[in-house]
Amino acid sequence: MEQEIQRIRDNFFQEIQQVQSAKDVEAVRVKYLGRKGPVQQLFKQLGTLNPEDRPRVGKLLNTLRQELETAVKEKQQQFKTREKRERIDLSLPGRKPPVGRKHPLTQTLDEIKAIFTAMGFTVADGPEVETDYYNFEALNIPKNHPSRNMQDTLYITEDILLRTHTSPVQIRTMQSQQPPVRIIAPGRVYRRDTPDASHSPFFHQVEGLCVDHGISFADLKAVISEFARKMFGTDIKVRFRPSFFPFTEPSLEYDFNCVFCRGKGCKVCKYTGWMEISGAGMVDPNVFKAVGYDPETITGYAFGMGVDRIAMLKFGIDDIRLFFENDMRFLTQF
Amino acid sequence: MKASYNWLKDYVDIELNPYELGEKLSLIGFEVEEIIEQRLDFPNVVVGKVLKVEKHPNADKLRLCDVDVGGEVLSIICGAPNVAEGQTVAVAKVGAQLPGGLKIRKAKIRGVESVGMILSEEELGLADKSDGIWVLPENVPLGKPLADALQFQTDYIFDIGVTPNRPDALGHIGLAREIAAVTGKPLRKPQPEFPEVSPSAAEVISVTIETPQSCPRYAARVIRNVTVAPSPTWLKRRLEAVGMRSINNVVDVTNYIMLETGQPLHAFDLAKLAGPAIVVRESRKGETFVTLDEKEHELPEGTVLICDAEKPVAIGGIMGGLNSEVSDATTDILLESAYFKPESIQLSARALGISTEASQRFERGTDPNGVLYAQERATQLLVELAGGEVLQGAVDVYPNPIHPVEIDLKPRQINTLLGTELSTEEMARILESIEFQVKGETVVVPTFRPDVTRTADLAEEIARLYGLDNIPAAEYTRMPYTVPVNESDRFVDELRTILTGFGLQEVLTNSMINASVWEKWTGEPVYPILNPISADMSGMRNTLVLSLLNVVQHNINRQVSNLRIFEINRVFKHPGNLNQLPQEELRVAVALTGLREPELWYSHRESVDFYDIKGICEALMDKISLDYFRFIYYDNFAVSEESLAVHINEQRIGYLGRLRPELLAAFDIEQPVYVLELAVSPLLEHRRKERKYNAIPRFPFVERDLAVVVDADVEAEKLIAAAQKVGGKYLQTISVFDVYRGKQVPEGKKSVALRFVFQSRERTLTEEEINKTMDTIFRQLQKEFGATLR
Repeated sequence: MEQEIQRIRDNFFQEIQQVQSAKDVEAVRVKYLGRKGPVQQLFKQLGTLNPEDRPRVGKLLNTLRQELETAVKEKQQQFKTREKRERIDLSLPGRKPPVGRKHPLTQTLDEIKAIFTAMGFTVADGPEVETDYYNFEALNIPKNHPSRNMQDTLYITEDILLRTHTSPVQIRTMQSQQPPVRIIAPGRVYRRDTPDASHSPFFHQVEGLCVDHGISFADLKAVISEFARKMFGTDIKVRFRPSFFPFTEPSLEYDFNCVFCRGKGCKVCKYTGWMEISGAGMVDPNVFKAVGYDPETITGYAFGMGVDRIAMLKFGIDDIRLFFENDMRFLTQF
Repeated sequence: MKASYNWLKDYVDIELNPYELGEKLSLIGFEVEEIIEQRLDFPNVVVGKVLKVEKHPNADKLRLCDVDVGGEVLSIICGAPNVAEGQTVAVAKVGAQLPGGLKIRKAKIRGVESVGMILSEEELGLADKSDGIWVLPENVPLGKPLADALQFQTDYIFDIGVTPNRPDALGHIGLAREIAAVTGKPLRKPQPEFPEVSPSAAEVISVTIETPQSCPRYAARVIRNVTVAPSPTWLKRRLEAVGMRSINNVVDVTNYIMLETGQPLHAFDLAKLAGPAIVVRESRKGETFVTLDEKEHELPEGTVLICDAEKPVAIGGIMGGLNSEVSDATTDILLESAYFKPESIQLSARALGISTEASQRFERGTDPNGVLYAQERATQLLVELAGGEVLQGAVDVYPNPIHPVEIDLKPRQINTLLGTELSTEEMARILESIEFQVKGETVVVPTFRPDVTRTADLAEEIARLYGLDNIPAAEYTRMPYTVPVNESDRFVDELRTILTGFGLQEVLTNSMINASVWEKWTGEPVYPILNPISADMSGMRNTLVLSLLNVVQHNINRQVSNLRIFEINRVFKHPGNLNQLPQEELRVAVALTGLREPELWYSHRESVDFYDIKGICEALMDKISLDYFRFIYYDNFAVSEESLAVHINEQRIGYLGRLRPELLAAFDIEQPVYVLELAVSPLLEHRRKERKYNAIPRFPFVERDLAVVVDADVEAEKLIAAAQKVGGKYLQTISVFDVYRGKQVPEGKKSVALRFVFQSRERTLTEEEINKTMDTIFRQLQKEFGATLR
């Protein structure tokens, strides 16, 4: 009888290995575990054995039944899940929640803000419609002075205008607090430019200002260089060239290594390896006078940058107008 | 300012090639925007002589010319009106290629063969515009290649963006001084020399300055018996190379010396000056004047006028007059060299709307003490090129001489500002290289540098010439521990994050809009722009919603018609009085249109509706923890019918709803659009700032549903309010889970299914008490709305 048990076990496992469907499993189950199956038959014959053998063989039989039942259950489970999977097409696209994105300029500005706030700058803002005083006069740009021609201005009246830069925020901030000042002023600015691939009559700037005792040009260099590295990569170098802005002295313009060729020289940078970014300088003593700071004891630097320009470099965009057309085929790329 | 490489070499030895020099100039503050190579070898272009000119048999305007090109006579057809026998001309032979790309081939023109072309300066790329062929001086050797014959050298023209503070660099000597300083080479200024004859100029003319405040200095010289003629080729070339047209030798000399020294000069025909005298005065009200470009100007009061004994003859520092212009018949010249106050020229040039080479220099500030040098250089050159006799001396009226400014050097302050450790000697060396004098702690600034008046200005000169790149960046900086946070800016960032999380795409649109159209649409005044770029950008917007409609229209026209967009930006409220700044209000606006879900296998292909936009508003409020807002029936210019105002307390902070059909039609949009526009600052102000924890209830809640049939116009909100009134203290929430109108409900009625949730913090509620409450609620609804059970 013990041999019989072993034989049933062997046959069963041979058959259950070969089943192809849940139906086959059921057939095997009925064949071995059914009322007329061999396991049941052996149980019936248990009474014919010697009383001393009965417990041992009974135990063996029980073990056999359990083994077989477990194997059947496992197989059934396997087919059950497999069949369930076959009911849906897993290749169909999922139910995607709508995806919204920030405008590429916002993404760029977010990055700029993060870099400067990490360097201790606070975000400041001011009106887009400004007075002549804040936009020009207080920034050491007198009426009729040729430097006014550097920026073509949109006016509301003779004295009220659309700010041509975010520099008026410098003045408003310094008027409202004493040094130290450490701000960036992002915002929209306006120029009387006809739109083309590189000009928009409105665009976005970030102005930076840091004023305290003993702030130097070397500090300005450090901040701009750090920005270049964080924004475009640690291999990007910065170059400074003297320039002129009425509200800074010394004034300078800063260039970054061309972000396309990393400074090696390419068509975009006209083989110079450099790209003009924007202007900066040490705050002119006349500006300090205008806000009531003492230019003998206080120094500071200011810098500007175009958010649109930086976004264009970052994303390789060659037409500024794309930002404001708001074509979804453009916006959804970022 | 355009500067010529070859010309600069007259004043300083330059070992750098043009591109290295350009880089150097850029790094000391003279940004070279472009370097234009002027290659002047023209293969197959030779000097020829016109032997014979005949009419073309088949064309009125063409001539047949026989041109000797040195041993060979070519038959060439020429269309220029000024071609004449005996002229020496530039001839392009067959095979020549002109700078414009034209290849010269044998050609038949109206039946006659032409072998070559007689050229104009324009065709050779030597002038922007020519009126006819280029007539060369007679002594140029025949048959020689043109470039050799005229001794042309390849030149490089630097287009330099000279900043407005550097009038001294608007002349070649000024630029050469800077080059000398950075390359360590000496500057060579030409020393003018010329013979003079008696009588003295002072015996012949008088000069009076009535307005020394606007014209501090006026110097005049007299040169007699000059011969006005075309300029020699070298002079023409130099002027044309930097973009200036050649007129005649006298005018060209004044321009040449201006480009050399930066000092504008003017030559008058002495015979046309009454007196002869020069009187400098300010214009009177209503005066008019005709400038040498033959335009009549009404002069703003106070314009500086150069007059003779009777009448104005020039607008001082801006432009000469037609009535005293040098012409071919001129023999005697009065040569003016003067200094005008920048402020005066700025005002007049702006008021007159004239900008000339002269006014650009005077308004930036010329050198009051360079007046005589320039005049003497011009006199020397005039004598060389136009002959004539120079009367002794200049009549130089300079009542209050302008002295050089003296500044304390303050080396410590400069080092602090720059973050450097330069020695006083190093600073002095740098300053002396550009002709500043350093006497101990005092710096004497030459008068050609009116921009330098303060220590900070000295710092700039030192930094610039020391090299900005040679100053190391700081390694450490002091930084405040406390960095204040801009709460409003941070809130806007949060809003953007929330709205993009709702699957909305951010857009940024123009703040300048068509004022009259928007006024018509919004029914509110638009803050207008005085000098707009176009009618479409003539005012500042007073709503964001119409800007979003532009975006909707743009995208629908490009076959993208399912849109979920938002913008956060400023609108401008007209203050009533244009002399006040407008109120700038930050707003958030949303627009939805098209299908709710993309057209995919799982989607229901349903268009967005009112509840989508309302839901965005509610979800936004939920996300920013703003609890106490209300919706109130409302229509405005943008939305109607399915539209609500959003209120916080008694304040309306915005609206939402379905866009008016008139607006859709105006934007050619054929699908419904739903919009939301809210002011941002009330959201920040009223959001719940404290977030405190409430214990989670330990006892189970009980849910009960009640479906009632009421009149179709009864609002769900009213039913809820009525139920709430009698719902007792354990009623937690009521939600509408179904609204039905149709077959099983009588006409004019609807079924509203409400779900009630009851819960106690202290105990498990009993079946009985809930049944009792539900009963009360139903009776209340019955009483108030005639509700029946479904």
